[in-house]
Amino acid sequence: MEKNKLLHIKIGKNEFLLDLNFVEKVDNSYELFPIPFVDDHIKGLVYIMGEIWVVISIEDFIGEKRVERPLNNLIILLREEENFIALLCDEIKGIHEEQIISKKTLEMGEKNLPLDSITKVYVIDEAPVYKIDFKKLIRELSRF
Amino acid sequence: MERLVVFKFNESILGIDIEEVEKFEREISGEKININLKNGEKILVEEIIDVNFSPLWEVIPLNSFYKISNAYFINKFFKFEKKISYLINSKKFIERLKKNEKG
Repeated sequence: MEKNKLLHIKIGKNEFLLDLNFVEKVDNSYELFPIPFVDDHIKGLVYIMGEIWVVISIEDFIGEKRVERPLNNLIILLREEENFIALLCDEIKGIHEEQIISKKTLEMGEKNLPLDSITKVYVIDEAPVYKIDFKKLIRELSRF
Repeated sequence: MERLVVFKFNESILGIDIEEVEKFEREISGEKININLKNGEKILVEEIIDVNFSPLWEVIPLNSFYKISNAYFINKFFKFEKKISYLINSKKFIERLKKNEKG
């Protein structure tokens, strides 16, 4: 049984889990620098901890209609070796041990989002929560 | 060391090597400015912010950025008045600009 700790976040109307091992920082005081001529899900760059991070909106990437709300104010900085991105996020819901939440799952496809990097769907507080594999997400976001 | 013309384009701050620039020309409407390049191409910009700017370059691993953004018209990053700005490859930038205009 896996003993990973997972960060539970909310983006738009969906909830996701990210392996805490890849989470470097959560930041809410960044300045976003837009990049011209890029896809809608690329929101720009931020300069944090001496590095430049590409900011991604998962909501735009999966083509979900944006829920009317104030502008996202959090970004999650994620890193795996030479790959690092920042994900826009609305809310941190908590941290879970995977072995505890893994007791209640949904079959893949039962309540799925168009995101290949979702590896499991757990149920937390009666809501589906999608576990994202960060390495797969990087591959999915990559253009080549 | 490169010297840049720094300009505002679609809310981004971009830079182009000054050696590539022929002259600036204000549009007839007076709203925007054309940067006329030595190769005959033009870039219509909102504002010229600085001329002859010598940047301090930010070196970043290219993997994360290019793999995800596909913004190959950006050559390097520099800081301009505490903002992250981009040195563009004018040829690739104009290709992208024309593609964008065609929709």
